[in-house]
Amino acid sequence: MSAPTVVMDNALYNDNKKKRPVMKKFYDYIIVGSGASGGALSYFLSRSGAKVLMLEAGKRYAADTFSSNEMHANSRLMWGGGTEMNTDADQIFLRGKVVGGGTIINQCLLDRFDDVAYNDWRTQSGVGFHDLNTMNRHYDEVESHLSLYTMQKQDWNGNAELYAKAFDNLGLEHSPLRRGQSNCNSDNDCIVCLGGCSRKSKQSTLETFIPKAEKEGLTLISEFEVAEVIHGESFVTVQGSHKGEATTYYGRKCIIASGAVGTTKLLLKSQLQKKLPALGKNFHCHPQWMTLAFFNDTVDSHKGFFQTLKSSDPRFRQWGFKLENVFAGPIALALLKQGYGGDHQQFMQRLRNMACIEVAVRDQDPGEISLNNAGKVVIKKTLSDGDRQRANHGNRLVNDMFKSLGAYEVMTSPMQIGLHLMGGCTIGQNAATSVVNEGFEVHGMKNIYIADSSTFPNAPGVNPMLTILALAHRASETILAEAGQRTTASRTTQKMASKEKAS
Amino acid sequence: MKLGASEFYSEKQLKGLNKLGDVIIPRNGAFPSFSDTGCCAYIDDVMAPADADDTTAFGYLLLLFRYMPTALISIVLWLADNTESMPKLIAPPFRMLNISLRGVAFSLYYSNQTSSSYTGPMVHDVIDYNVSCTPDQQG
Repeated sequence: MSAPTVVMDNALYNDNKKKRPVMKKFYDYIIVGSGASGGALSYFLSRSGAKVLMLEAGKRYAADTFSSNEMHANSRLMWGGGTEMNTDADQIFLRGKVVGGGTIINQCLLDRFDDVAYNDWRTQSGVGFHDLNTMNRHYDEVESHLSLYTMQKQDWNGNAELYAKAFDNLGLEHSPLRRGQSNCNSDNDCIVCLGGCSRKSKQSTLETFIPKAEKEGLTLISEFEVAEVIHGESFVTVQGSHKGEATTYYGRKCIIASGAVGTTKLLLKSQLQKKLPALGKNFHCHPQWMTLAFFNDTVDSHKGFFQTLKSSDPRFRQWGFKLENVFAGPIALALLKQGYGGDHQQFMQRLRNMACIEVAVRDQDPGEISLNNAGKVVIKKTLSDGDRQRANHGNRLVNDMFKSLGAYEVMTSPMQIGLHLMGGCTIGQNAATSVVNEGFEVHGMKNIYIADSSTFPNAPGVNPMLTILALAHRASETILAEAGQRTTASRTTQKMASKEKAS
Repeated sequence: MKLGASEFYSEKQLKGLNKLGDVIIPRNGAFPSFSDTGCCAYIDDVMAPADADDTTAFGYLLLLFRYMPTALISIVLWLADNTESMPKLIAPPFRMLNISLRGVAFSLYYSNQTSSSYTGPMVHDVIDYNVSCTPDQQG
């Protein structure tokens, strides 16, 4: 690889006071993506005193400039306006394109994984730290930076009341959801913040880790689309364009944190598939089906805290799906119902009488991400018989639940939605079957790291955001240790880490 | 009514969009029709994140709908919406068409956006949908 052309000036490094020449476009760490992984990494790396650059393809919005209009949320905050599909065109994938990434458009539900998820991960990956006891200190660390709220019974809206009653009718356990939020109340309708939280309450990385990282010196460039990363023995070249202008940056290390589809796409565009035979494989998405039920009484599923409960009965883990207490805005609801014309309008007019439960399947059979000749992402994800059986089981159960409540009509939408996009750059010990090693390094490329949901070995069946944050914290320790810099951990977690190492 | 300027589409194409939209969402009871609301003026907002190729292809479809008999548009929509019994190779393009056509029409109409001259009932009032989240004063 030829030496880069760089601009020199006499600026100072932040971490010492000695005057020495630095390259304006050269950073210690370049992070591609600003969602859960990129956001957390930006803070943990910046606070070590390193010079960190974050590149994000989407725009940056101040909290009070998020639109409450569902159309704007879709078109301004998501790749493809929220219409990316698999090759069979029967699943839609939603992924954020905005500073804060997926944490801007999700519900910020923050659960730790359980032993079931980690045991299955460890079996597949052979990675030792895929263990709840080991990961607990990383959960502790990231949670210490977040405001967490466990939903209370007084927070339930009409849809949650029905959800709880239906579970009771069928003898199934439910429990409260835990959400990252700082100052919400039931006077506000949280469904709006699926298009960005205007109250600065939802604990997206835009409100949590990124501002902290900026205080530590992070440089964030939004509307920068990375086209290629080139690995070198001493640095990584990151090429892309900022508002149409081609630009190149250089980093001692590059951490790709663009999510399952974005990270995989970037490595594929960087022509790395020959070196990384497992690249693009092992894609999972927790496919979801929404079932709507109609009641004579008003339900108002869209009002207040619209998601407060989760299915927690141990049998759900065995069955391979969970039931979510959710709802959607009018545009999404309109698309869930087949047809058009008068029947469809009659459906929409009953919006306030609708209740909704969603089945999210822990998909066992992976899909694959590739690029077509035009360089566009192609996602092959066909439901296997087993996954379809799990979905059918869940949808039948939801149907029974709503019937037990006296719903006069129940409708399961044929549309499948993928919100939790995982895999494509799986972590593991074998370069033939994985893309990154136990230290989050891309196999054979010691200066490129990945620690986002693309590294997931399989579908955990649990909301992934908190674990992505925790993995990012673990990765930051590995990256800083490799560079000989001080760890990012607090004293308590350092002690625990030493114990872990000793054992 | 003269249709507003679009960066992506001509007036003929916007007429095609209104024709398609009125099949999907006709004037019916309290519901204004798609074209009544003037929501097609916001087509650029919906198409902004789409690839240039997709925007162009959608434009050809709109031009086709401009001249296609309404009954034929209904048949296209029905086919696109009923792919369960289609052979596996044929179904995906029809499903994509279904998402594209209904997706654009529903996004525009149920966004509650209207032209400045529109005086009829607001769509969110018709379906009685009202949500709000007020920015924190301290924020």
